[in-house]
Amino acid sequence: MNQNIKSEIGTIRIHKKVISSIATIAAKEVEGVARVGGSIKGFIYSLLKQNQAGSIDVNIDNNNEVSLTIPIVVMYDYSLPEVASRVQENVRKMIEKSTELNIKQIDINIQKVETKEGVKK
Amino acid sequence: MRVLTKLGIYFYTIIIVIIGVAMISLAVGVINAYEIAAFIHTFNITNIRLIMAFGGALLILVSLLFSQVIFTKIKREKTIAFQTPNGEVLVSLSAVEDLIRRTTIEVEGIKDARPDVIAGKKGIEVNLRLTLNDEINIPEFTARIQDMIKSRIQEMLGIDEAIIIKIFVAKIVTKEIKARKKKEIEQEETPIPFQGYKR
Repeated sequence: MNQNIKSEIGTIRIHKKVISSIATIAAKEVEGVARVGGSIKGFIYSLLKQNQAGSIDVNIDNNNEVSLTIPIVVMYDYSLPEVASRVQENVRKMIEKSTELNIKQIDINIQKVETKEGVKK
Repeated sequence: MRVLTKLGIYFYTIIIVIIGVAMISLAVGVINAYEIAAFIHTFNITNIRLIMAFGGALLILVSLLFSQVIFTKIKREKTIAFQTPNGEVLVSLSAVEDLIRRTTIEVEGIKDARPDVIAGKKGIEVNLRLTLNDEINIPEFTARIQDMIKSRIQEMLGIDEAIIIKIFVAKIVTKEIKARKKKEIEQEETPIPFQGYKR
């Protein structure tokens, strides 16, 4: 499903994959995030050598509001609530800035804690 | 919910036992396949057939409900959740286990740590299985570890819920064992002089 934005001369469609890609980049930017993924879905994507953006769930409701569920792996020695809320804020800011869409909710699933040696960005 | 789960487990145990006994009886010859066929043949009466079909449908329905209850329970209990203004944050229990493992393994005197975290209504329960060195005072050491893990979880998760930490010292590694193992490894690795040297 795509997100439709009407302009004066036509319709702009933003695919869900675009939203999840922006969310992945924004989440990775946050200090303390080892990687995006870590869920079973993310593991399947990594086996298929696909972009981890696929592991993010994007839902668009009837009011054209976007809800995201982002699985992340956090680096050891960082406060989990702090990292999670910074990811929520950064993802919201980046999606709103890039797509001008309304964000309803950003849920974060912390799947794992890793040390620096185990990090593969 | 607990009663329902227990009833379900008893129900399925009985069904599986019946199937097992029937299979053994067939194999041994206590029940004859022809006798079963004759028994099934008596179901020609419509009422009995209806009862059988209704019973089968009920069994399927009970199975589906039971599996749903079990899976929902597993899913709900596998995470620790807290709310932020932007949405929900779910921390997987395996992430908390990773955190505890990494925190404890850094402590001198601990050889191995295997945590198991359960999140319930009463709070978070941590069952930690440890392998320790023999030079330490266990009661004092484990009390220190309990305090350390508790404060670490509170600091990292930012929660005020009750945290119960149970430590089980599974093994104590003595210096002799360690030295023997080290010697064995060294012996295996010792190169034989002029090995591989040929004319």
